[in-house]
Amino acid sequence: MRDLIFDIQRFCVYDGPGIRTTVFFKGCNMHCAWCHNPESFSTDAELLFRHEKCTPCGACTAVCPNGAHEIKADGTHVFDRAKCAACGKCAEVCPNDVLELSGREMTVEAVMKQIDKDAKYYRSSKGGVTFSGGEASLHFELLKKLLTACREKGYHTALETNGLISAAHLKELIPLTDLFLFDFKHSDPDALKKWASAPLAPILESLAALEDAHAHVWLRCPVIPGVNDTDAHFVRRFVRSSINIPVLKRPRSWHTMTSAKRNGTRWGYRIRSPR
Amino acid sequence: MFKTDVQKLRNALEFTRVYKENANDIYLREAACMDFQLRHILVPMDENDGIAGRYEHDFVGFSSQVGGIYTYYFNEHEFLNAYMACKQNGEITAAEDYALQAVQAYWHEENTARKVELEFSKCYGYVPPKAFPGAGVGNCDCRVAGTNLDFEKLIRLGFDGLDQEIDRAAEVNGASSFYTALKLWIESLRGACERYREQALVLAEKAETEEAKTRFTKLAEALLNIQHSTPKTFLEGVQLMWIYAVSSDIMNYSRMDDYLGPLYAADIDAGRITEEEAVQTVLYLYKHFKEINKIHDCRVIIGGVGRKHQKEADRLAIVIMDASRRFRETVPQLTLRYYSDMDETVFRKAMEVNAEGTTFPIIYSDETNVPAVEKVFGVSHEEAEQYVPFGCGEYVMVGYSVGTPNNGINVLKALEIALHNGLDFYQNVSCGEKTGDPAQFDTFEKLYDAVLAQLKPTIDRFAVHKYLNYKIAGENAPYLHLSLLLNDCIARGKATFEGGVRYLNASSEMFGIISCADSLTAIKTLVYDEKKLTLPELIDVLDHDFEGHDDIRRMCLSAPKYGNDDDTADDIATRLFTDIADLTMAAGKAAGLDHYNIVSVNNSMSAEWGNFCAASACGRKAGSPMANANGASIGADKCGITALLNSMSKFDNTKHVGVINNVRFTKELFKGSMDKVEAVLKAFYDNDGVQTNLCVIGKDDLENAMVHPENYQNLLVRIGGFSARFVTLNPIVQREIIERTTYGA
Repeated sequence: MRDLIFDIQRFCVYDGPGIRTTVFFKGCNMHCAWCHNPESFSTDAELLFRHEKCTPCGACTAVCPNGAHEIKADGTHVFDRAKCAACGKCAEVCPNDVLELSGREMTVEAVMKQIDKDAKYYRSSKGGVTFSGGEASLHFELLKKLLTACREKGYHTALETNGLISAAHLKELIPLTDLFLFDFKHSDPDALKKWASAPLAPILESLAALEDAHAHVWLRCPVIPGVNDTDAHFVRRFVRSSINIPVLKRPRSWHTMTSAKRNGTRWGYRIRSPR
Repeated sequence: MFKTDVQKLRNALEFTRVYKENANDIYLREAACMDFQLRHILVPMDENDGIAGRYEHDFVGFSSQVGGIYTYYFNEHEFLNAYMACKQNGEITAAEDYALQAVQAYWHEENTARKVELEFSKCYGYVPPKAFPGAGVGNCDCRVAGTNLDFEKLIRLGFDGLDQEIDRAAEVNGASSFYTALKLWIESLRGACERYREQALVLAEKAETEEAKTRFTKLAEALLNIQHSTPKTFLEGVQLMWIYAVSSDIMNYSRMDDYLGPLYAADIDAGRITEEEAVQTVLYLYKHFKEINKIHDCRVIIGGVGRKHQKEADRLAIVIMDASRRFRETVPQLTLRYYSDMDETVFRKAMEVNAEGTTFPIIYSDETNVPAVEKVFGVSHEEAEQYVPFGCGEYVMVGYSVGTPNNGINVLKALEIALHNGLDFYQNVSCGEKTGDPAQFDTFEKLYDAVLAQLKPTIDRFAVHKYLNYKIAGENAPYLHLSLLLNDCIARGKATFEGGVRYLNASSEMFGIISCADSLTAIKTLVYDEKKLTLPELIDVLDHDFEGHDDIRRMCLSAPKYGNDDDTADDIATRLFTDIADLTMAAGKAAGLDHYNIVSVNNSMSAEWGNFCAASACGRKAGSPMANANGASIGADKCGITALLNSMSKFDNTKHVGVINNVRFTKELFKGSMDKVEAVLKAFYDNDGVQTNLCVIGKDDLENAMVHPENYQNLLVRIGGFSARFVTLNPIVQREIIERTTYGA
């Protein structure tokens, strides 16, 4: 598996305390029906296709080595994902940002160069760096190096995780991480299986391990109407009192953004708008 | 309009008589002209006033900058319109008709700006263009704009105290008509107070409510007291400052919290007024600001280091900000000077007032600017502490310097002309330097040098124009209203422009500097580094406004852009900035100014002048707006607010006397995460950030306002050096505003 990063966002205000730079790793071991970063599912590089912006000029058809793009006589742009090798040549020539290659390999130095740029803002706001994804812990070695590098610079570190981490990896990450943003999606094993294709037991084990280590944890989750907006999920005392009660600080209009992004990937969308 | 056209024409006749009668002494002439003028331009109070002093200028008069011209000015166009109308209506006698024709012929040549024009054209053989539709890289005007007077001294000494200071100086230096004229000017101001006092008494008499009766009675009392004594109450302080400002066309009001703070605090502490009454007094002042409506001026400064009465000033600063929050207008351009250990409640109030979409206060960083001003002006730390931005954001030092900004330089146009070997391509006028066939520019450096070579002659000439602007002003007038409250004039016995003012500075406004820098970066990347096309090929594409070359336009747009914390682009922007700054400073020295420096502070002319520029290699289409001041190319800042601010922090602040950084936030982010926004801004101010023009708007407000302007009458936006009601802007500017980046979460 390659360690791919699909985005580094500066001035993030919802990913931990203060002002933060968030590094998004590509690849996830869950598959949540509501995920608004569907490009993070796969660990491979992939082409994003925003067909609604296409003019269609045909620049991509001229450069694609595999014939993955075709402009039909009626002007429809057909993209055959099966033929796409995610080489990114089409994205380079696309005049309208219809095509974008998601996922690139980056060295620790290259990532840190981006992170360092906002050091003064971390200081002034008591902020720092957040690693997210996908599931960042899948890229354990690179993540560890980055957390260590941040520590050396004195940056506050946060790891956003779904909790599906091996006990051995978690044990090594705890001393390098100032804050775990624990995305606890559902507390019912069947529902979690249904909506996120994930088992509950190892997630609860991770939570217990964090608590035993007295790690600083924020529990949180997106509130999905009809899925997890239940008392059972929010009120149930499944952990000991030292861990924060889940608080969603700012519910967002997740569904509109998600549906638009989903259309550009191979992943369908099975959540209906709450309205 | 309180005067009819025929009255204004008769005033022109009389003013001319007074001017001619006193022709042999410029000091006494100005005093006599000003006395006449004050009797005719000050508009009577009405029942809605709470502070006395409104004006309506005549066609001929004396002013620093009325209507954008100066000293003895002549609004010939308006004069002729009125003359023709009155003549047709039979409102003027045959004798008056003859006299008016003579007056027109006289002032056509005698107005002071004309004398500058003639002197300049004697040097260079032409009169420089006055506004952006002209060909070439620059335009300029005659003004003495932006002087910030020592109102602290006015409040501290009062009219009698100033009289005494003049007397003492006359004992040392000997009597002179300069001193006599200064005292006559003070007497004219007393006369203005007295006339308003009489009106206030009448209004008190006629008042229908107790509130109005009390208001006018108190005002009459204040207008009496300030004729001799120092002001004893907040109301008297405001009234004294205002009668001075309105009588002399002063449009920037320096450090108001400091000079009025002690009077405010004393009134509150003695229980004479409530905070609410103080806000009302400030709002009565704001009403006059709005009537004058100088949206590009009208700075009120609060906060900052170097205040004499910091504690009291901070208390008043809160009141002033609250007045602005309620007033919700484009004036005054309320400006807060930040420093790292300032009172937290003052800063928080500034954030809250901005959060309501007022675009005020504009925030300046003393941490960055005081040390920078010390260097750029070569002054002491104490003097540098008195820097204030005026107008769109040029610096002067309160009481120590003049610094008029009378010219615009279009840096993007210099590139256009360099790419066409002296031809202004858009205007099809050959007016630039023959810097050579661009096909022969085999290195980027040759192109870069050609751009500077296009700029240098204009910069040099405009420095001379600034010098002449002051010199000829000084030969014609002592500028009594400035000389009285600018340090050193009284002590030296010299008027402002004959060696009185301590620092004779001026500034030069850059337009399109970022558009030019981004274009140069694109050319360097595509032509010289990656060799994707030749320079002549690119020029051909630009000349055809990218028609049929979307691919090349995309390459241009994708090239690195300033505003993303990308050194490739930022290095060229800062280099260009520094090089033009150096050329300007050198030109000022050569011309005889103490300091002549660039500012990158723009009004809407960055959009309007862009309308007369060809397509540029940054990807900008022909006729499109240029980037505003030190803002990014429109919509090109894509890496977040911190990246933009980092780019904005990279310029050498010891090379300029004002830049502006427009930053727009969504209301959702600014209000919802105010602590974090505050932390970002403070980190910027503490690390070489000069200032921010904040604009906070709802997510879809701008688009909606274009469709339903009736629902968005109060939507304020920051353009650059001024704020505006969005719905009143012309569509070119509106579109440019919409396309700028808004930072959300």
